[in-house]
Amino acid sequence: MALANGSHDTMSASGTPAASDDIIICRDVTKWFGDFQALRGITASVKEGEVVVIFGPSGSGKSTFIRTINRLEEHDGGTIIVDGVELNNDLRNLERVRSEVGMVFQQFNLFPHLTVRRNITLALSHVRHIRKAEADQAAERLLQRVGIPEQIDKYPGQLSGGQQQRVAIARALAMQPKIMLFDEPTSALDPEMIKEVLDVMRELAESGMTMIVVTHEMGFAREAADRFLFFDEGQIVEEGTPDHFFTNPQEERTKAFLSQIL
Amino acid sequence: MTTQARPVPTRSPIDVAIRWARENLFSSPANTLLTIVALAFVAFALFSTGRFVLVTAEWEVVHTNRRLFFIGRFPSDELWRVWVIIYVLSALAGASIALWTRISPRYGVLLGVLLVPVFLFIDGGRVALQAAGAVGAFAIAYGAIAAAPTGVATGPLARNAAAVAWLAFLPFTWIMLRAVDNLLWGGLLLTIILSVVGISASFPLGVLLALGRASTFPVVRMFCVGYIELIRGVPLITVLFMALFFLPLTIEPNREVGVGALQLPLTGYGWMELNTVLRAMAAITIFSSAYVAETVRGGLQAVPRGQVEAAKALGLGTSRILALIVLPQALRAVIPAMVGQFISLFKDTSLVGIVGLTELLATARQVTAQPAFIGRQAEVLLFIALIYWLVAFTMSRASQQLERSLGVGER
Repeated sequence: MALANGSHDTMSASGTPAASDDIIICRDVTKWFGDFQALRGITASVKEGEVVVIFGPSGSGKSTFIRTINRLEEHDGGTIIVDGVELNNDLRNLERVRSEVGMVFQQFNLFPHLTVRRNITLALSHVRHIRKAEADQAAERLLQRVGIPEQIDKYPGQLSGGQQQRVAIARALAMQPKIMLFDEPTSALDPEMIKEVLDVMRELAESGMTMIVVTHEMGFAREAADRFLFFDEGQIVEEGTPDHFFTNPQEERTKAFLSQIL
Repeated sequence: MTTQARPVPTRSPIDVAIRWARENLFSSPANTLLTIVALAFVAFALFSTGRFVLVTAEWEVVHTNRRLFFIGRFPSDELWRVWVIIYVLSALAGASIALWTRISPRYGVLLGVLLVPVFLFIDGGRVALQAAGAVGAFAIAYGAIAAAPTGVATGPLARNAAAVAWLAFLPFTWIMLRAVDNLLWGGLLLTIILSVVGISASFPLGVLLALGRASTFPVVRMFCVGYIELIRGVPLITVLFMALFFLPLTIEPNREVGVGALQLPLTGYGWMELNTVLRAMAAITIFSSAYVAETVRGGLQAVPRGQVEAAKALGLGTSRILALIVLPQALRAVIPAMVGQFISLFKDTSLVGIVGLTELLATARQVTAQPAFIGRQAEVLLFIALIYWLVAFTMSRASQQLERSLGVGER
């Protein structure tokens, strides 16, 4: 893959909040689950078209963090601004943000009672109010893009894990989001299916999509990412380019973790 | 490698049977003894039942009172109303099966055709002719949809029309039967009316209660929890009595409610009996909806949280998530439990006899009190048991068909 590294040279060394081309801005975000503090003041920002990979030990708050970005988790403190809209209790803001942010889950979360076609067109029909024929066309086009056009009339239960995750990506893309969030998209997959999903994600990154990816697939991360965030105990411990992490990590915790997963 | 298949030693079915029996029934002395005792018991039970049904029993009591069993004291002049309802129902069922399901209509038609000679035997030609007509209505409606160009059968127009027809069916039935004094509704007819109303009212109510119980509004949640736990803690018979005492929907001024109301069907006038039937319907609905709510709650809990999260992430609102994602999955998962609940509702309607309505079981008690048929309880009870079983078994089979056509457990 010669293409992959060259395509995102606009690297931001460190997210400087409030810069004009930042599409996601997080300032001092905190989150509590009862007595447990999952996020201890996260400050980060993502530029348009940037691919950010988040990694870290389990329970470090990486999933919680990306789930606050489309408000599947409500943050308790700090500010999150997505494409100029601050996330708060205002429902209209929430709808705007959610239709601009696509999300792909570890467990796929396809709707098992609907066909692949309906899974993809559901939100187009009921959120965007697009006519059925157009929505169907979009579904066909997206399945073509993720490489499984022939599965359109099957049910999710009839597909392999890798195929299901590709449908999930197509479903999220149907809303034409500006930002895609991936929450450990390959962790529930058998090894031989991981590549087909990563290929789709790589293609997406090359097309200029803004992506935040929680993953431990370091090969993919090194190729596709512009920037790494290393999470531990609810904080960003270290931040930098992939090269920085692979050649010259600074923090002890980062080194220890990298030595375990590489 | 030889491609020639080796000849398989052929064994006759009798050999297989003997071998199976030896392995499963006579494998040890204790087993042999058990088999013999069990066989003797089964043979005895079959023999005595058979002898009763075919020799001892005097079925005249059933034959003479056949009209009472099926429709109570419903006047023959108005009987066409029941038949019109059955015709409409058959046609609706035929059309719906063709529109929504992959269920084969074979069984419905077969059952209908098999029942025609039974009617012929019970009541001569007229009822049999009507029943054949109902089977015909079912078949014609099914055929019309099945033969229509695919665009019609799968298009939203025909389906919406059928849905509206179903919604209108209950009011239509009510209007058709209203002309006949409630006092005269009885037998299987009343049992089925009570069941159908109870099922169609308690289902939506139960779904609402289950959703209310999962609500984030404390007042709504506490009301639903209170209702469900209160009703589930009380026997149906108590609810029936309470409906008569505490639910006087329209009370004639100066008329005493209370113990007097219990005797209404025997002493009162038309519109007051309507109240008794209505109150029984209300009681059954109130009671059943609490159980439906708990069944549905189980289904709601079985839908993984990720489903709601995925729907939220797509920008769907709360009501759409419920209607499009959560409820379809939750209800599908609880079809077997729900049908079980409805079958027991059907059988529980026999309790309304205690508050003075003459449904099937109460009819049986009246019949056995007739001077001409003293001592014929066994025949009558066996007969109504057969009717109850037939209806309940049909419901259970229909549920299995429904599960299969929705692919429950496959996806």
